[in-house]
Amino acid sequence: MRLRSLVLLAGALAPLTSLPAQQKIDRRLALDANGMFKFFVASGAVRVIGWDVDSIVVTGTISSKSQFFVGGGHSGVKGAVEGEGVEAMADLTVKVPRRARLWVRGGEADVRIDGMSGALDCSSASGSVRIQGNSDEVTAETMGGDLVLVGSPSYMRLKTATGRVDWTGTGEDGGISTVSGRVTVHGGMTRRGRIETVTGDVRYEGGIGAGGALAIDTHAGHVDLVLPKSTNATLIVTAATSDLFGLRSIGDPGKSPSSVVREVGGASAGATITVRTFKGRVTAASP
Amino acid sequence: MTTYEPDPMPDRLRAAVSALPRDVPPADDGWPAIRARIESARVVPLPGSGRVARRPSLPWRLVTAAAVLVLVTSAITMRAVRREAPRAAAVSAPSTSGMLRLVNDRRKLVIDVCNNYDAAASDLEGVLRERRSRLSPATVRVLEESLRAIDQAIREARAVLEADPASQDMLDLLDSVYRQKLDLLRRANALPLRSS
Repeated sequence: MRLRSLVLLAGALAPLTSLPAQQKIDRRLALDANGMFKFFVASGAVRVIGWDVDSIVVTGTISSKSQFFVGGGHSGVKGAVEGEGVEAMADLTVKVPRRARLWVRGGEADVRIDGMSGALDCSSASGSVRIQGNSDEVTAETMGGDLVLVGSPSYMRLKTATGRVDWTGTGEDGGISTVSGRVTVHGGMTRRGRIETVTGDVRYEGGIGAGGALAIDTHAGHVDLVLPKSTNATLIVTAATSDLFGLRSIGDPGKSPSSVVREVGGASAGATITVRTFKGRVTAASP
Repeated sequence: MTTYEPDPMPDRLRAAVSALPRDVPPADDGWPAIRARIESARVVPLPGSGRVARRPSLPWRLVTAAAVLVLVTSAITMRAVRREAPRAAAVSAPSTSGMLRLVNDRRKLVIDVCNNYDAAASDLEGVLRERRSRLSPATVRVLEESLRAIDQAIREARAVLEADPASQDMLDLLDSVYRQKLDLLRRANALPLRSS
């Protein structure tokens, strides 16, 4: 009985002892308000928070076998956590001047950015990317993770492969592409937008600005457009199957899909929404 | 909103305008002479010269146009579906051969587009093969799944374009999928590597 208790105790402690030991990180550097910050984390999680102080503070933990570097001057700072797999696991919070230009790469790490207003360029290979803020220029990529943006940048490029893209906001010039990831837009493009997937479905809930152009191309994804009643646009849909405001069209699957043109609202604004899909279904409705 | 109010008209000008006659008949100048010259040049059919040549009535013209259209469409479809029958062009009407030439040009364009993209993709895939063992297994899994989906889409789009090479929408969709493939490979080749 006593031996059995010892075995159970050893079993319970085993996961704790197999975890790599951790190092605490607490580093501070000066950085101009509109300086450049570049950061790389191999795995784990990194959270970047914009603040109104002209310095950088990195806090959190990294595994004992990984190494942490950070350095630079007032105009630019560069940092990284290097190591392999679990040994490079990091959990860091980085405070950065709000208007700084930010470049973040996460190998397999999840990246989260809040409260920044400078230009953002961030990506992760298989981690997720979540951005919330007022940046005017956002470029974000991930392969397998999900990509979530809450913000209204003038210029935006979002890309994944299998991960989903979820964008809430409005933008002048937006481009979103995935392979099989689902794309959801709540808000919309005001001047120029392009959404491309191969098999991923697209849901676009939003309008298009006067004279704007929105193009959605997908090989096999379904496309659902939910346009505000105030939308004025020419809608051009090329699909085997469509349901545009109750007007249904069914073509021959496997053949070149046919096109349907529909004026939405007065269409006097000259905006154009073009949707093309080979195998998918297109629906358009106004709430 | 900005609005523009017309300048008030001076009273003297307003009075002068009001005094003008409301309608003025055109001057009776050279019109009678012009009319006489037109009448003298009129062509009058000679009596006993038989039927006046007529254009075919509208229904016949429609039937003829439909027949030509069917001929052209059939030839294009046959040519598109049966690539092994190039002799069809030789026995077709000139307009049909012209259309066939267009179809062939389009098919050649599709093949050129695919060949160019395939060559570029092949280069990038070569680089990816060298880097693959140093990418994380999760990333490799995502890449393989994505490339399979892309290649399947390319095969389907090409099959449709074989039968209907004139479809600009399908060519654009194929172009979009190829661009996605190149972009995915380029991004994969830019990913950070694990130490070997």
